[in-house]
Amino acid sequence: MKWPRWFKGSSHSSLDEEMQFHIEQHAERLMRGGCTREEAMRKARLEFGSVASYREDCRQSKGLAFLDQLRADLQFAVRILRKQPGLSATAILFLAVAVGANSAFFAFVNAYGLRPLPIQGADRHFDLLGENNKKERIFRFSKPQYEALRGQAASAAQLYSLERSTLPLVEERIRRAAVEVVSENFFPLLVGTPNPDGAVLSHAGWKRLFHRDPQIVGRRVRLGSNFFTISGVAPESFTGVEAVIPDFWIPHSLRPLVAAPQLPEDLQVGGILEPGVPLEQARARLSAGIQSLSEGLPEDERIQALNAESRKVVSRDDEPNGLVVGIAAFPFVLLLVVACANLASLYLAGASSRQRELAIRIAIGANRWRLVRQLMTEALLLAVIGAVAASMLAVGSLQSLQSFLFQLVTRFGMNFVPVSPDWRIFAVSLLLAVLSALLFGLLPSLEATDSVREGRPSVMARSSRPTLMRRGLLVTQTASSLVLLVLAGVLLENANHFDNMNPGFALDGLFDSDHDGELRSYSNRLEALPAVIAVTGVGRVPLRGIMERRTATIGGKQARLFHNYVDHRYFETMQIPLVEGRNFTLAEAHNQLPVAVISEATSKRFWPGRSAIGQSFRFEGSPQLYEVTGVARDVVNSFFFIGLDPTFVYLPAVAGSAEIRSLIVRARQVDARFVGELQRLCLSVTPQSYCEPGSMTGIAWMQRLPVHIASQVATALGVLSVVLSCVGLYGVVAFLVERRKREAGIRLALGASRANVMLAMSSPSVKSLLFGIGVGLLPCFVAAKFAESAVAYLRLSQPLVFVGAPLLLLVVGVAAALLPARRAASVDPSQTLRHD
Amino acid sequence: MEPPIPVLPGTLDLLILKAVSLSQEHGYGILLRIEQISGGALSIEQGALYPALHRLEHQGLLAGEWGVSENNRKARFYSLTPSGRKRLKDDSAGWERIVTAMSAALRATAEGIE
Repeated sequence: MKWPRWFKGSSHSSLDEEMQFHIEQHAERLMRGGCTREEAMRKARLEFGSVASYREDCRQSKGLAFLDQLRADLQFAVRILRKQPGLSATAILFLAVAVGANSAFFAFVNAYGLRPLPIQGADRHFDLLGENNKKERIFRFSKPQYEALRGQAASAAQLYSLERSTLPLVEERIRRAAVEVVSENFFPLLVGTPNPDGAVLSHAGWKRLFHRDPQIVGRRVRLGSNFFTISGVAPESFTGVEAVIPDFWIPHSLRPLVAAPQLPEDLQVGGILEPGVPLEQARARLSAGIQSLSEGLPEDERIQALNAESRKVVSRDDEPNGLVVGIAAFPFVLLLVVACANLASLYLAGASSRQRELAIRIAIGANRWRLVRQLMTEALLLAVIGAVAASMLAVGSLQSLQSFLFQLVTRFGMNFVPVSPDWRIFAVSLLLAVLSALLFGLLPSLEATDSVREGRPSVMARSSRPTLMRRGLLVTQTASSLVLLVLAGVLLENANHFDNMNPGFALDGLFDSDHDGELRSYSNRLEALPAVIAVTGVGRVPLRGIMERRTATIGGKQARLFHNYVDHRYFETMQIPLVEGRNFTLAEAHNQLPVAVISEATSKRFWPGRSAIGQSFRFEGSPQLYEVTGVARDVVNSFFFIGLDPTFVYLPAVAGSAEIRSLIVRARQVDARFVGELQRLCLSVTPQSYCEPGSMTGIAWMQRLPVHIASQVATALGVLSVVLSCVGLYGVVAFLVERRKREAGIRLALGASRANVMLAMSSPSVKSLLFGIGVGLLPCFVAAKFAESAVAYLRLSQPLVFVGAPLLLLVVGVAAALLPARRAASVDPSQTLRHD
Repeated sequence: MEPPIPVLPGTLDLLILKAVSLSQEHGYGILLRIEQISGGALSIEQGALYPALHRLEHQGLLAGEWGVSENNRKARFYSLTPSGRKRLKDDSAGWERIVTAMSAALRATAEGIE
């Protein structure tokens, strides 16, 4: 390998020149004393001493020797790595996989939590939030409030506003378009371009809705019932100020075309501090006229306090982001730990097989620190190569990871800020790899050179039993792998459980239809569609979130009951059978009479062993006594992880009342044509809102998706860690076997059976494996107990996982240990005994 | 004349600082100067001068620069930096103390310690 000249010290020649001058001066002096020139030079050189040795001393005194040694170490490390291609390739692969997974994880944290917002003055950006008398946060402001605040902020900060809505983009097909109506200063302030006079298309929207049509600028597109001219496409780098990128930014002057003018504006407000103005000063300035902002508003909408919260990145601080990231990062870090422990084992094996080399180096005068440094240089060199491979792996897989993780939002036509690679990903890869190298390199280096410290640098040192450290590493990797496996198992089990859970009603053909307009006439028009079997009005759509709960006195007890308002056609539409009694009638629903249908579980809980029909209950704060007319079969109304509703009460109401907010449709056949029909109907009734008929199958899928994604990620990590562990275990046992070949030969020669030899070779590792499994199970049980109390509905007590995962690990681990041990058992005693 | 004695370990730095404090010198000049001010009693291993010079320069006690010698040859000249001057003062005082203490110790007689 060639090194640049500067690496070998630049003061080289000038130093020689200086010493040469000295020698000549001295020779001249000697010549004045009567010597001949040759004689004088010879004497002068002799008296001066070894130029080379003094040169070396000079370099040492300047600290250049360190560089020389580093160069030598590096050169030697390269040679060693090339000499053990198997070990080197394994190490690089391990690092690439484990560090790469962590870097990919980091890429997501980076994109949302670290990379500055793509706006001017991102480091001075803040969100404006209000607080009411109950300390609840107010995220939206009215137009007059915004105008007043803008005036107050002047000279301390510039405020901007945006209002989000979803409009139907009407072409041959009707598609969802996310729109942000932005204040006139939005683009001048955040991008530095003039306020547009038409709609600005985001790059993501251009791609999704118009397939990057190069002729898009100047075209008129129909959003709702109005046409907008597209005045430009934003560059890909400008994604707005939120995690979700809108398809269109529309200047405030065009708001009357987006929403009816009588609809009050609901503005999200942010701002940029003037340079040099502290946040606190802006906040004080904004809070000055706070009382006048909320005159005439109801108590809980009045702004009592204002907060300017600095936000330089996409993600907001107010969510428990740190905790979520920490928990999510845990399995990734664990994978890295497994990789490190494995590498340390392999590295230790590699280093101790070099005892002879180390002993020789000590014999010729190297100290322990020098040897450790040599071994560490090798580890660090591996780390750098591994880091490059890891960042390539991470960056290469970002695209597919992103579409996998964001399938939920992309399916619903939303654009998320893309997770694009940048220098930070490489920096983190390098940092993690170097940290790993310190972990996996330092301990084994210390161990391998340990004999030096004790003054027995014996060439024949051949300890063949796994040392404490080697056992510790095996235990660590096994325990970590087990934790990952159990985690994957628990998540898989839960995902599987959700998949197999029947909500209790037929999902196929069921649609919910959000609608802003008058529901009763809409419901009638829906029913007129030929494909529709039934339509029902509901307060809340099942499976769309957790149902509301109200405290009630029921069966002589106080209890919080899940409840929902439904009309008289609900059970028929949803196909939920009544097991007892009767449904409420249209008249009862229309007049909202105090009757109720309750779930089977509710009946059994409050009136055990007898019929609930005719019994009554009362909600807290209301004198009305509700009479139970029917008992319906149990279903899942909220979340699959909660399961069948523990209690449920259906109360009567009809479309047109305030209680009924959505419609659910059961159709004969659900296809694209039907969805199109539904959308056109919706457009004709309320052109300014996009009606998304959400299929209940899709809603159920959406509920299950996070668990599926989590379980798939955890499974991938678990499988990777087991593979790493097994490769590591195989490597270590193979190494031990190699060193104990002679012993195996002797045992065989003395008449041991092959099975005996295999057992002798692999049993120490298998013991560590068993011990590691025990160590790993302990935190699993503790975490399970903790998680069980924290997450009420998680299923954790499956014996399958807690028995299956250790068994799997044990079987695979023993196989990995026995494979190389077999080689020991098949040695020819006469061969191995002759060896060495 | 008695044969010159080799310098005590650790005292070479002090001697170099002293020699350079008298006038700016190149390496060979420093060697001659030390011989001169010690009355020829101290001898220095010639080559050993250079690692010491470079060490002192690296520590910022000496400043080295290329110049032209009296016989018009290119040579590297050393002068004292302010911190070198301070070090010389401190180390000289330290040396005085050692000498005083050593002399007192060596002059002691059996009667004196009664």
